[in-house]
Parts: sequence; C-alpha cells; structure tokens
Amino acid sequence: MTMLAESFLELNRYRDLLRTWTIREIKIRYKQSLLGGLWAILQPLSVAIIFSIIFSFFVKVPTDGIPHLMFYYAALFPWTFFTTAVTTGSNSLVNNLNLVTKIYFPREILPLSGVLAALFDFTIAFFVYIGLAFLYKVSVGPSIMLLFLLIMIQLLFTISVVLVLAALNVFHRDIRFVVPLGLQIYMYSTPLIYPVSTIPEKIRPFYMLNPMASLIHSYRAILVYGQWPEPTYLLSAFLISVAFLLTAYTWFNKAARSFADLI
Amino acid sequence: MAVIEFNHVTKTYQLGVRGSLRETLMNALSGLVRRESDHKKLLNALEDVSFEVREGEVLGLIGANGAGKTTTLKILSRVTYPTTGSVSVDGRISALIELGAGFHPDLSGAENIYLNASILGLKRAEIDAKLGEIVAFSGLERFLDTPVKRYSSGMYARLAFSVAAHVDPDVLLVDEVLSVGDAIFQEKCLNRMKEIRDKGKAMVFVSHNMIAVQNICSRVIWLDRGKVRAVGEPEEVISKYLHNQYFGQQNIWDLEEGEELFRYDEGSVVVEAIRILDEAGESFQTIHGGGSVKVEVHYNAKRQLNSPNVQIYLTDKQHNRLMGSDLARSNYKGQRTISKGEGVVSCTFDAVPIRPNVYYFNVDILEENRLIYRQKDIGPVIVRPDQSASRWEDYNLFDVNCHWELNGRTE
Repeated sequence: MTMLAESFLELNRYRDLLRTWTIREIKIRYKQSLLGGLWAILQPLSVAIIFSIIFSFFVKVPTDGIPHLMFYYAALFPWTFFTTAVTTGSNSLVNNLNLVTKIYFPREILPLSGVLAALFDFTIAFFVYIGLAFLYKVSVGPSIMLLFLLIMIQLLFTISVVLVLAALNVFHRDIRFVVPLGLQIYMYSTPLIYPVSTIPEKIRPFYMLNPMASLIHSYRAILVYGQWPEPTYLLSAFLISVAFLLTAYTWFNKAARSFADLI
Repeated sequence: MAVIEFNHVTKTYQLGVRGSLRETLMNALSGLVRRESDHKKLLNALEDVSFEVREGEVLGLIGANGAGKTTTLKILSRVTYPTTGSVSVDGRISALIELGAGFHPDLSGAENIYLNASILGLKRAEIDAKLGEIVAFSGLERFLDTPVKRYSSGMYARLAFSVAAHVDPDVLLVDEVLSVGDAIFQEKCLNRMKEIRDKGKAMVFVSHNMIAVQNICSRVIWLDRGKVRAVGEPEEVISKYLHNQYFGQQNIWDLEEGEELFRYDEGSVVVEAIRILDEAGESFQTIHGGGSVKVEVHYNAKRQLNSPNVQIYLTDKQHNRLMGSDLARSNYKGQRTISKGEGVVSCTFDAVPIRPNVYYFNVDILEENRLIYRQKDIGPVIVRPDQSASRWEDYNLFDVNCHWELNGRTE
C-alpha cells in the first residue's frame, strides 16, 4: 500500500509531463490525419448509422420506441472512447521504446496519456450527441448530472485495462494482435447492439458484473430515456473498477522495474 | 556529503529472455513437469561495483564497450534497477543520455522544447521561465514555429542540446552525447558541463573521449567487464586504461609470420622487432605532445642490399600520413649500406607537434627505389594530453612552438 501511495506521489510530481504528453498525442493524431478532429465523430457516428440500418430494416431489434440512430449513438460514443483508449494505450510503451530504455519517468504516463487523448475525442463526440438529442427531441432529465460519475467510473476501468495490456505488450508482443480480437469479442458481451432487457433475468446479475455492461446500460438510461440509472449496477461497476485499478497499478509498478531490461 | 552512493551493485541480465507468448506458455507448461532455468544464460553487466560522488565532484567512467558504463548510468537514472546492492541519489537527477528524447517530427520547435524539457523532468512553469534563454542559446528564433522535420540535422541537434543544457539538476549524468556534432558543438557541450560543475553540482560523465574526461573529471573509474579495474586521479587511471587497451603488457612488436606485412621479394630482409622509445631511451606506451620519439627497426638481412633506403612515417587511425622521414634524403652522413646480417636502423623525431590521439608508425624498406619490405600500423602510439588540464592547444591538429609579437602605437 505504501508503494502504491509513493507511485501516486511520483506521478503527481510528473503531472506536467502527463499533460504535455497528452497534448502531444492529440496534436500528432490531428496533424497526421486529413480529417483531423472529424475522426473522433466519424467513427462512432458511421457505426451507429450502419447499426441503425441493419437493426431496423433487416433484423428487428427492439429499442422501446427510441429512434435507432439515437439508441446506438448514445452507446457507441462511450464505447469508442473505450476502444480508442485501449488500442492506443496498449501500444504506448512499445511505441516509445527509445524513451523507456533511456530515460526515467513514471512509466504509467505513456498509457495514461493514451487514455486522456481518447477522452478528448470523447468530448468532441459528445457534441454530436447533443445535436442528435435536439434533432430527435430527446427529453433529458436531471439524471444527466450523473454523466460525470459515469465518465469517471469508465476512466478508472479503462485505465486499469490499459495499464495491464500496455505492460503485457512489453513482455509479449503478441498482445498487439490479441487486443483487436479481444475488443471485438468484448463488444458482443456488452449491450451495444441489443438492450439489456433482452438478457434473461436469471443471468442478468452476472452479465452486469461486467463494468462496461453496467456503464453502457446507464449511459442509455441517462442520455436516451432521461431516467436514473440503476444504483446497484453503478455501485458494482464502481467497486469492481476501483479494485481492478488498485491491483493493476500495483502490478504495473512491479512490472515497470524490468521494462528497460526486457525491451 | 555524498550525493550519489553506489553500494556493492550487481546487475545481472538474462540473455535471450521471454519473447513471444507461445514461448512463455511452452515454458510454463514444461515448468510444470521439471524445474526450468537450466538453459538460461546469465550475464553480469556489473559485479559488486561501489563508489560515491560528492557535491562538486565529476566522476568519469571509462572502459571498453560492454564494460558496464551505460548500465551504471541507467541504474543511477532509475531506468533499470540493480539485481543486488543499493543505490541512493540525493536530489534531482537529469540524464543527458539521448539528445532530443521525445522529439516528434510533426511538432514545431517550440512544442518540442516543451516536450523534451518535461521528459527531462522540468515543470511547466520552469520551462516557461527558461524558454527565452533556451531559444536564444539555440539561435533558432526564426524557426520556432516550423515543424522539426524541416530542420537540418545540425539545427535539430542544436535545439536538442539547448534544452538539455538548461536543465538545472542536482546530479547530472552525461553519456557519450559529446560524440555527436562538430567540434564547436562539442566544445559548447564541454563548457556547459564545466559551468554546471563549477556550480558545485555532482556529475557522472561517460565518454570514450579521453581528452574530455581528463579535462572535466576530478576522479575516474575504469570499468572492465563489469568490474572496477582502477579508481583515482584522471591522469593515472586514463594512462592505465590506454596502456591496457592498446598494448596489453607488451611494448615491443615482435613481428611474426601472418602479420600484416608486405614482402616484395624472397625475404631478402626480415624485420624482427620494432621498438618505439621515448627521450630517456625507454620503451613507452604513451607520451605527452611535444615529446620526442625514437623508432628502432631491428632487421636481419639475408644478403647485402644495393643502395638501400628506409622510410618511417606516422599515420592516424584513418591511415592519413602525418609526418615521416626518408633515410636517403635525410642529412644523415654515416654508413649507407646494409650488409648481410643483423642490424638496427633508427630515426628520432624531435618534439612531435601533434595533438593527443592514437597514432601508428609504418616502416618501408627499399632497394634501388623498389619496395622490398613494408610493415604497417605499428603501435599504437598514444599521445596524451598535457598535464595542465584543459589546454586550448589540445583541440588543434598540430601543436607547434610559436613566437608572438604585438606592436602597437599609442596615439
């Protein structure tokens, strides 16, 4: 526990680097691509459009009377935040070997920057949600205040996943190939395409142990239905994420001591 | 007070460690059956190394490649950790191990200054305060908004060094950074390091540039395959190291078959040994610039040579001929024949005016202007920097005695 506290203090000492490196990640991504910031919007929006077409015309998926595009976008833009963060964050250490082997700084800064840069994209994508909400006249309730709580829980969970994958990637380069596959499988075990109501009641408590399932379900509750999310789901997502983060960070710090030797 | 303490540090690397996931899984599976680790090769990069560095002290680390110098720096800067032993460093460390760390080609000069400086451990406010100074030092004011990818490599190095030079650490670690860049750049680096030293900061300096080490260090450690071979005064340790590196224990070149030599006839003359002697007539390994050198060629002629000639010349490591002498064209007035049997021909070079470096002697023997024997790269001969540290002349190609005059009229 003292080791964990020391790591937090050290990270705090280097917060300026975290900030500068995050800005670097964002700038590079936007300078190197033609469409720049539009990518942050295009990715969740195009998938949402495709889903709406498929699941309203070809396969009928019930959305409880909500327009399909709204139903999918509200889940897909937080999901894109997760996948972007995991994809960039898990490669962050391996992509900067020359730094990791030569210069000291808290190693978690690189994966964290990946997550924070994705958070920036998420913010842009949020504005599209606002536009859609006006278009479809979605009635948002006071529960919108909980949005920050959801984002925070998602951050905790995403950071844990990214820390573990980024470190494993240093040890075994195969992780590079495992991540996209894993994300695809994970997508189907999260209520993106279908509403949670389609999951049988008996299995549902176990199904909702997955923090991303609880989160996506809660995003929809807040952003589409204007309802309060179910507190048990949120609480379990929060507790699981915190426990996961503490474990992941402790392990990451232990693993980080040998990064320079292994790379 | 010791700023750096390095206590009995051993660093062991496993060679050929974990690669792919498959290997690890296979190892884990086979580990269930039998205890593994019998096929792992271990390498001690450092073995029981101890030293301390006090405030205002500059410790030089010298040694051949793979001696453990870089590992020592990496342990000090916490990039890697010792296998056994302990390390304590008091204060902020800054490591000039790689110039321009974190630079991204698509970002502008100014953006890269912020990036690089924060990686070197500076806070944003500190960078804000130093930005003007850094930019002025680099001389790149007009290109600050230009992406670094459009910079020439010289501009790139200047920007990188300007940032590095303005980090104000308590402990500075410098790796072979000086080997990049031109002479002016290197001198700028050295001057900046001297400034930091004179502020009373502790420094550890790794270099193959013995002049730089001698100029700047107060103490030197010679590392040899992970162990401390010698510690002490720079002059003394550097000499020991250079002796060992170039000579082993011998200082006479007994020439045997198989060495690189050219015989242009049927071995009518064989050179059995070549000795290089200093002013006192002793075999030597290193001399100071400006000293005299005597080259003795011990030959064995199988027959009498008709109008023989001997040429002895000095080359640098790149085989550039620097100076030399020719027996036939010299003012030598004595015996000019080489008859059958053994003998010694020698040439003394007075006050060799060359800068500290490593050189080689070469010997040619001619008969009637035809080359009949050649021995290349005899040596090396090491010319050491003068004892008085930091001689300006050491940076010149030649070290010649000069006579100055200054005449001015007061009006």
